[in-house]
Amino acid sequence: MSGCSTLASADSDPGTLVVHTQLGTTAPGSPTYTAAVKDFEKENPGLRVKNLVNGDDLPQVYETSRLARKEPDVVMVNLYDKTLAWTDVGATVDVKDYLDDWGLRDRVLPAALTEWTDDEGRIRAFPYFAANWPVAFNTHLLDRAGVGAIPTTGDQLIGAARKLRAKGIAPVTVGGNDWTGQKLLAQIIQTFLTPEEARQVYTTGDFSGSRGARAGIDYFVTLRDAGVFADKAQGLTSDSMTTQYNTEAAAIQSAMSSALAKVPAKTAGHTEIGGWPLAPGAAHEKPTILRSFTLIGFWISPNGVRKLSSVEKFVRFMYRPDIVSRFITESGRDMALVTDTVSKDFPLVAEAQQLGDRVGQALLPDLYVPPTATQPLITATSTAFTRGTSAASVRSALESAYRTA
Amino acid sequence: MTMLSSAPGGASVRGPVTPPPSASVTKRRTQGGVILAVPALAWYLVFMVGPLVAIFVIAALHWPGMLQPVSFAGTGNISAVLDDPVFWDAVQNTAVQLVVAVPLMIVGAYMLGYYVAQKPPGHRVLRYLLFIPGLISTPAKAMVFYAVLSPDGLLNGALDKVGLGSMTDAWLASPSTALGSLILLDVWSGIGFTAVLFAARLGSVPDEIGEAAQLDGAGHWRAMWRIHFPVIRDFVGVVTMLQFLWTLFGSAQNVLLLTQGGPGSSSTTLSFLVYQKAFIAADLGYSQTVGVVLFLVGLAGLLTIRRVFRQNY
Repeated sequence: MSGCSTLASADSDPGTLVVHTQLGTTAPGSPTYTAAVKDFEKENPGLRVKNLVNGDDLPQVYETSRLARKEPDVVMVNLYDKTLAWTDVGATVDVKDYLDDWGLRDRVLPAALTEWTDDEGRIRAFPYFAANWPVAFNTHLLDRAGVGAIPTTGDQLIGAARKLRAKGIAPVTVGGNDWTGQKLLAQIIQTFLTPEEARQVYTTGDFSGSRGARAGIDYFVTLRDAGVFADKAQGLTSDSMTTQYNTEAAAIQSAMSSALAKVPAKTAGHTEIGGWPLAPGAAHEKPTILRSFTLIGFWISPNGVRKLSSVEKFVRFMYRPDIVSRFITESGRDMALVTDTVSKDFPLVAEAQQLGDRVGQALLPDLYVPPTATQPLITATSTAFTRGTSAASVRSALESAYRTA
Repeated sequence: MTMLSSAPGGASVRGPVTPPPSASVTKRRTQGGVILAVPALAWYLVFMVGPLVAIFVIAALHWPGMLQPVSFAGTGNISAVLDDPVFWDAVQNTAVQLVVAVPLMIVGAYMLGYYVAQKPPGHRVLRYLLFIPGLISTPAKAMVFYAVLSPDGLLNGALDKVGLGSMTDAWLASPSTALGSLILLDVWSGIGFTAVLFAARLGSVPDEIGEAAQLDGAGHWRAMWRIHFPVIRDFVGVVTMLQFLWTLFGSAQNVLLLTQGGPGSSSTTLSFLVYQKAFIAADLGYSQTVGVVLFLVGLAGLLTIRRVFRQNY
């Protein structure tokens, strides 16, 4: 309620740009964003930026304010779940013309533009953050357990897990109770799927009807029951995962770049970045990682269109190469924009950026999962990570997430 | 007041009499009362009856998200709900939660309240201690339980230390223990508060009743259940009704904070399903259809509890 009144008061003030953002508290990049906004205000006297900060609940809060026609002018949020429908329902506007009129198209990576463009050719928002989602291997712990090289096949991974467990080290840590587990599960299921098949499976939820998806789930179950994942992974969260890896209680994690940026220097010193090991007959030639260009972008609301000159100044400022570089060097973020800057203080992030063709790429399913199935899929993930759950039960749990979609 | 007095000469005369209010005065007063009640009545209609009607209306709509177009669904949502195994899992989980948590809490709290009402040494401190869970916010309570029950939490740590490592579990993420953990939280957070309520009511029961029972040879158990319980039976009914409603409608918050209804749907309750479908899955029609079911279950439960605990003397 107080948020609404804040919006109401700020809305009518032409000298104030209201930005609804997920940056501002503990999200990686928040301090850089806050500092950048201060610089923006200094460069634009008379124009104030009012930040409204929310976490995962931002889409819900924004939709409520939009219903009251008191929505903020700019929204900084991922393309995911509810936000997938925003352009369709007029909650935000197509930014394609603005991107061209403001001469910013060349600043955006082509892959990012593709991911932010919907089926009707509309660009949903100005892309900004990206993420690499590789696998981090603690070579020190692998050496201690007698694992000579980073595993690149399922058999090698199972062998490594046995040796690590014998030394009391958890093999692969993962938040089996949240989105980190959901992403890793999706990545492993895609072992035998081409990108097209993966898109089809995640759009329809027909995991039983696809031979590749069935084989992928079988592969996941084999790995799980061979003890590849940390004990009670079904109850772990992303926080437990990063804690176990960062404190060297676990040897391997599948981590997006923002998590890699938080690995302490000592652990980072003996961490190698790679992809998820494959099974024989896989649809990919090299171990896979996930990549996403649909993290936080700048969405423009119908209210923002009324303050277009202010919005233009803000987006142009945030797209400036020096500001983009700051997010890379100060916060270790991956960007969806063209830049030569490489992070020096976040070596693992930089290493992940430079993986190039050494790894294959699995599809991040976020763009294809219907919004109504998103949360149920995460809930089903913990069932999948529970030891002893059969492959058929895992398929059933995943398919039930799509039941009301 | 009308009174008779003897007048000299023996004639009986009426004393001064206040005339009864005329019909028109009574009517004016009634009209005035009604006018004064109009704002409260309007408030009640808009904010109490309105949302109730809205639940039934939304249950008949296809409404896939707050910003999405709305259409009439007829009985479509009812079919969707009844055909959804998750709904039936939620019904079962809610039933288990009610059947286990409410009796456990009421019986335990009554016994605890009876003990406190006997004013044992330190009973004043005990009253405050019992009240403590009621003073802790729900997220803080959930944090405490998460710290205890997470895979690397205090409980598993303690089990490991005493050589019972094989009994460790992911308590909040195991299909066999997730719901039980939530029930435990319900009982832990509600029993002390309820015991204080019972102690307050038992404190107003005349001491003579207990003393007479003791003289007749009744022990504490007998006095507790056969003497004091019948005296405060209607009060127990009220508290049971409140706990029933809190458990039925309020379970969503603990589920949301600790298990998100999982793993799978093993800890999904009806009230969490209402939340999940409305705010996460953006299916408002389905959500409010479950809301209607909850309303009807709540109403039936209230009437049953009222009947069971009716004062019978």
